[in-house]
Amino acid sequence: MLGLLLSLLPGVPTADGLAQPAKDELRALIPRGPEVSGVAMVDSTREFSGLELYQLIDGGADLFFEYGFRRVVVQEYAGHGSFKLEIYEMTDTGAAYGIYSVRSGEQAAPVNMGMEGCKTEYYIMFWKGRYYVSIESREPGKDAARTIEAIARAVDRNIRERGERPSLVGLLGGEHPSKLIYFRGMLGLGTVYYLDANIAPQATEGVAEKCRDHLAIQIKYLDSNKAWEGFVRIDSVFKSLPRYHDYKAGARQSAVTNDARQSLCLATKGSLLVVVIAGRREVAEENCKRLIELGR
Amino acid sequence: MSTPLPRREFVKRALLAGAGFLSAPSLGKVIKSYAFALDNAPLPYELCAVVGDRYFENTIKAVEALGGMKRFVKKGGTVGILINSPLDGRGAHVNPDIAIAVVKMCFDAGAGEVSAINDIGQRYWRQSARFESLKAEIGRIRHSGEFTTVSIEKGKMLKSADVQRALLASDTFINIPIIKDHEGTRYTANMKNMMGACSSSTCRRFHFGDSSIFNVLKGYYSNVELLAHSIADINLVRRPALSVVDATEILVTNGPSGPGDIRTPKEVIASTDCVAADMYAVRHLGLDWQELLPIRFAHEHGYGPNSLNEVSIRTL
Repeated sequence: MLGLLLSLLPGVPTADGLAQPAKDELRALIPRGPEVSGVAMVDSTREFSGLELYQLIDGGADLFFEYGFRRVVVQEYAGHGSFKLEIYEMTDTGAAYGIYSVRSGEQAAPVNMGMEGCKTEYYIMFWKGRYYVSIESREPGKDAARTIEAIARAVDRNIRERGERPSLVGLLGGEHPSKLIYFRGMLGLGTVYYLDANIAPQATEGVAEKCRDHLAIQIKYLDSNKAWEGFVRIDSVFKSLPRYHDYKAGARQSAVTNDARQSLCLATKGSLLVVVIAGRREVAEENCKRLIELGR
Repeated sequence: MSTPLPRREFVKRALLAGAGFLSAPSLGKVIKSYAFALDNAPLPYELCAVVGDRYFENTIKAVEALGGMKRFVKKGGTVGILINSPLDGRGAHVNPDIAIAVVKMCFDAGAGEVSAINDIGQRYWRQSARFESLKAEIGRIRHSGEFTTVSIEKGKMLKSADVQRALLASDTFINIPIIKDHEGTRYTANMKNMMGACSSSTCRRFHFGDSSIFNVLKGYYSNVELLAHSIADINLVRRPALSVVDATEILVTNGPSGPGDIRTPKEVIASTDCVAADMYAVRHLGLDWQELLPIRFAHEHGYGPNSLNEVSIRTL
């Protein structure tokens, strides 16, 4: 909610306490010519602020608002194919990291760009400071891959801000996660797992980590009462929906099996809520216990 | 521009169908509630999925397997097509070969007029290798851009909507979506594509209800349900006689706009029922239709098959 509020009120300092860059500063991040050889800018730069994001990506806009979106500039290029550059200015570095963590694909390979980046044959995306950057080629190929990399490196050079991952990230400690996301609401969480319960409104942030044999979700609430309310919401879904079976309850902990024969273990301690999904009940329970202890 | 339907004929057709429209501006009063006689009459649930590289030919094969376009389009009749075409990234829009195949079949079946319910630029059609050879057919596609307000009496969240007049005025409605990831509803295909027939102010209400600043600020997540309910509600207005779903190259993450991970099932799906097609198609995203709210809410409204066992499915 804070992210959206900020996005609606231009000029308000960001969650990092930094002043919002002037309009021209965002546009100044766009490579305009000589630094990217072989391509030329096509059409004028488009800019979308706050709720105008719906005009650019309609159904995709909600996720950006969930993290905290301020504005985006879009620039088209032509050269060896056609290319689209989007630079999103988020409300804070956590928002930029979060949107990157959700949108970086499992098909993508890491690339040394920004604070973290990834690439496939047809796109590169990275985050740096408050910015999430995406460059897409409409006609994949080797030449196109070189061009999007050149555009991406030019943007990377133009962004002077840096930033750290949110402190909650990295606490899960799973081995070799194939995907790690930082979320601030149900949409972000929903990209890795749908929990059937609206648990996010009172949560502040969370992390989900896909590992070899389980998916771990850790949600941070404002206080222990809110975390308990979150626990009760999910627990009641486990008890009531027909797609969950074999319900077992413990002290501030419960477990079920779903129709897909996955085991889900839920636990809470202090302001923390943990959900682990695994193929085997003991894996779910062990990791649930481990994460609750880690979060103390 | 489309030839406007005479007002008397439009009113008659809407009444026959039970349609309610609030503010076709000069009509002034609410005419109550509805289900399109032609399209919403329960047809048997039938579906054909064709896999292969030849998307144009496979679209024709899929429709032929359902009895051919003449089953859906009457000679001299009008057809409204709703193509998911606005986003231009990979796996984010319907392959134009599929849309062109549908248009060609409509004219071959004797359609008097084909209207694009949403605005489709030439840039979209030019991406097709068939553009030059079927330029004449493409040139015959009309678009009016005129909206009409309809009431949705049985709508749970959406009680009225501004929709393209062509959606209501056409004798036959054909929906042509792509199946792909969606960060809100988890998938988009037939049911959600109906938002493409709505005005931007109506679409905003799918996300924020009454659009008050308080709703906007209270957060999005009650609003996943709002969005899903609104999608199920808008499909009460009119459901297609024929759905043709592009599952050839699809975004499986970061939908609806991308860029994101791509999967290439190379499948074209045609069905007499939009919900059946969605229930079938979501497998390509690794989803179980039982977890998807728009489908759950469609069932609560009483439309769509309750299980794929109720659908006659052919794969070619």
